[in-house]
Amino acid sequence: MAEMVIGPGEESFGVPNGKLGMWTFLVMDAMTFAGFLAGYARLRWKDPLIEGTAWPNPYETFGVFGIQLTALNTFILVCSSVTMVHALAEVMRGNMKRAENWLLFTIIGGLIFLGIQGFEWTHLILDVWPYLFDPTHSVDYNLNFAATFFALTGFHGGHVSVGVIYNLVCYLAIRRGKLTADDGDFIEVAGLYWHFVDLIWILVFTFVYLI
Amino acid sequence: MAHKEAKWVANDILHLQYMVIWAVLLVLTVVEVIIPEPSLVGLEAFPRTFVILSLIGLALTKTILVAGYYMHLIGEKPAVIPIACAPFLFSVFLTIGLFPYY
Amino acid sequence: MNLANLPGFLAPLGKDSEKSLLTYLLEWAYTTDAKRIGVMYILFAAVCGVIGMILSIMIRAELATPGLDLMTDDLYMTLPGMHASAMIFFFIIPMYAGFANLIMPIQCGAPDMAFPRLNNAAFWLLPPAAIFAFSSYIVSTAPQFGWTAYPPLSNSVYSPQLGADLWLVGLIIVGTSSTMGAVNFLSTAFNMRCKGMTLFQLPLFTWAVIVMSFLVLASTPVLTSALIMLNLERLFPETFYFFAPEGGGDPILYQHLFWFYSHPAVYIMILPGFGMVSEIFQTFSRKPIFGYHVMVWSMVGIAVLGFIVWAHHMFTSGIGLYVRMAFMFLTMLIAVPTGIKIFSWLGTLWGGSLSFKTPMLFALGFLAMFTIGGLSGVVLASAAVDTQLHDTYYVVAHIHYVLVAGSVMTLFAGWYYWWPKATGRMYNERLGQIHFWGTTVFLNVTFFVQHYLGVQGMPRRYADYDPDFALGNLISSYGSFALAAVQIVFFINMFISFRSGERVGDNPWKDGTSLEWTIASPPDHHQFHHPPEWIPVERHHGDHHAPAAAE
Repeated sequence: MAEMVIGPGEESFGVPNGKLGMWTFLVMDAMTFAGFLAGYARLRWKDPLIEGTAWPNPYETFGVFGIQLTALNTFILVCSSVTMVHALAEVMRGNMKRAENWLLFTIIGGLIFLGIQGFEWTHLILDVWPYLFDPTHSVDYNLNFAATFFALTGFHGGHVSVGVIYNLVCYLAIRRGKLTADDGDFIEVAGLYWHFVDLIWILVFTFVYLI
Repeated sequence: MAHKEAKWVANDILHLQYMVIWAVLLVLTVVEVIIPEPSLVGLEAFPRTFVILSLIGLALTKTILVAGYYMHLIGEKPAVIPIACAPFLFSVFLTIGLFPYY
Repeated sequence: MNLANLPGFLAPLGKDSEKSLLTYLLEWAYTTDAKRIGVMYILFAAVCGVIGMILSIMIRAELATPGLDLMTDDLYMTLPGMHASAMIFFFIIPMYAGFANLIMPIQCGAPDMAFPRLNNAAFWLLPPAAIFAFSSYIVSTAPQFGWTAYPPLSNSVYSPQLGADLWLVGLIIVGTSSTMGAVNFLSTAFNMRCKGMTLFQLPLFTWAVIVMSFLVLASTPVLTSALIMLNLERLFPETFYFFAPEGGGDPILYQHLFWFYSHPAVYIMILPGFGMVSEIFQTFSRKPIFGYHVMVWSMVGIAVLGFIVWAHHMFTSGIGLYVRMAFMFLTMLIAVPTGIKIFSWLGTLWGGSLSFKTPMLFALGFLAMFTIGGLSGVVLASAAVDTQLHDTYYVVAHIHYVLVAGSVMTLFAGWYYWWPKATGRMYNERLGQIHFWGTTVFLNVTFFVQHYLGVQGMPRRYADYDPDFALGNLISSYGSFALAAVQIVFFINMFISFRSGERVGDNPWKDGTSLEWTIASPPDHHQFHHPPEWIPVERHHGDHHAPAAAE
């Protein structure tokens, strides 16, 4: 029996299977975030059922420094997106050594992002929202501010972690020569995921920290 | 060697585009941080509606830039674009439907 | 049975697996062949269907007479929810995924799915999910909040049992599995079509799978996010208050998110069935489908409309008047594309040279009885009427006419239709007809009377009821017992057929036109021995006479 190759057929959309698969996966992932974000929007905008539990102003809770730190974090994630497109461009050009370095920068960018977010979580849990660990501590504002914050940034942080691992796999594969200049598609698919994580962060940052 | 040289030039232009988008994203982020707290640059506070609408507009602009240029949706095969845009449509349905009307 | 004699993709691949049953089964477990994965899906779904049927028999046995006869309230309260989740998440949806795996790549002319290993992984997420969900009966009490799991009933105060958490985890895993499957179906159908198979040459079953996959991709994650929120709220009640009003949450938010999934899920559970009966009507009336393009676009229309009607499940939960009016109008709009499909099927049958084999009978039964379910749906769509009928047996009758007389009938139709293709053997036609008539008659005995019970005001999900409703419930219970008994005929038929059915050729129905009828029954691994080529057929309906009809 002749071995049939699994790949685009005679009639196709003209893109590799992997790219189409990643885009359809991103549809699904975007809708997961849409569920969280739309739920957040409803909780944010509805009138509080109990008096005095209005939504706090994020600028006051996080502090100007906190917002600026997160803005820096956004900037780092955007930078790591740029290094990712450079990595892809270098793979397309056939310069695997440079691509490897760009990918390394991308991974470091992702790790810095996770580090800053971990620092921020620690600060918020210990200093700003002490009621999380101490039920006796009284609260005079909307508890869902913390709840939606953790759900959204945590779910996004999980995606960043997966993306870092994904990029690390690509990086090691290039280092060991398993991905060559012919495998641009593979890096492009990894890049799609990474840019998607960045894109979602832009939305989460705006809706959670700024509005 | 000559055609490799030509490829380099093309790639430089590509890089230039990536860097321009990167700069635009950076500027938009700074603007976003200032809008809800204009006192940072010594301005009066903006009306709440303006803050919300402009922030949503800026965020959408940034996502479109990332999707269009970094995810290469601009110039992608036409069939992929509706797939990529589908979740936007459905999340708009979801958000509008979820809005707490009374 | 001698393993070495099995034909096609059922045959062992390696030398060792011919001799040892264990190696053969492991070969199946590790397989990346879409057909084998499809068969595993179908078998898994059949087992879960039997579990769900047993749960439903328990419900009907308790409800046969007024009063608590057989079980405690606590046990009864778990049954409706577990019956629903078994049937919806572990029976109908995986069953369609199985048929899509088995048939869809062949219909596209693809050698396999786009991501064969992802396909295997998607299947193997299902058994753990089912174990999680059903083990709640063994580990502790199963959840008692129904399949909808509305908070505050489902939060940690009112449902403290561990079983509820297990059930939630099972559902999240099922959602992941079906989205993985959907990614695969879309990539295959879009990107791996053979020469000549343009998008509007695809058979309607493949189109139905495409539309279903889009529904899965866009709606299932929203349920996942809602269940994650509910899980967080249950596990960390001091921190998360998404749905708890005392912390600023909103219980209606959960209902919105839940129905944003679960209304499209209704179409996830019926659209592949639409595709199946479209194939069957073509084959058994020996005519091309009437209005192919309209059939495709009405499916797309149902899908898009299906996303903007979800709040009609919430007419009584306190949403605004104008929201209710908008959703009522949009809901009634869905009857339009569905009606287009029903009339196109009638148009296909009209003037055809019909042959009433078992698949055709099931498809016709579907057409007749699904229409009843659709019409009671239009009744329920009216917000004013729904206020009366909400949470009564009228809703139960409606959902069962849509899912049993709709989805399950199409599943049987598809099962009989593709059984010779998948096994290479013909089933017993007489037993098949007995199965059809038994199913159809007792299905109506079981569910039709529930319309009357509902209009009289019998509420759903209660173990006990007013003696006024006794007669209707007794009829319904006897009907359900007979309905379950008739299914034994089906299993006997399949067992006998697999052992000693008559061997069939490539095209046992003689009039099958899509690509799966051009290859061996059962197909070999990678189905085609050389890349297939589809000769485009005229899909416009007008004065063209189909070659099959002209003969």
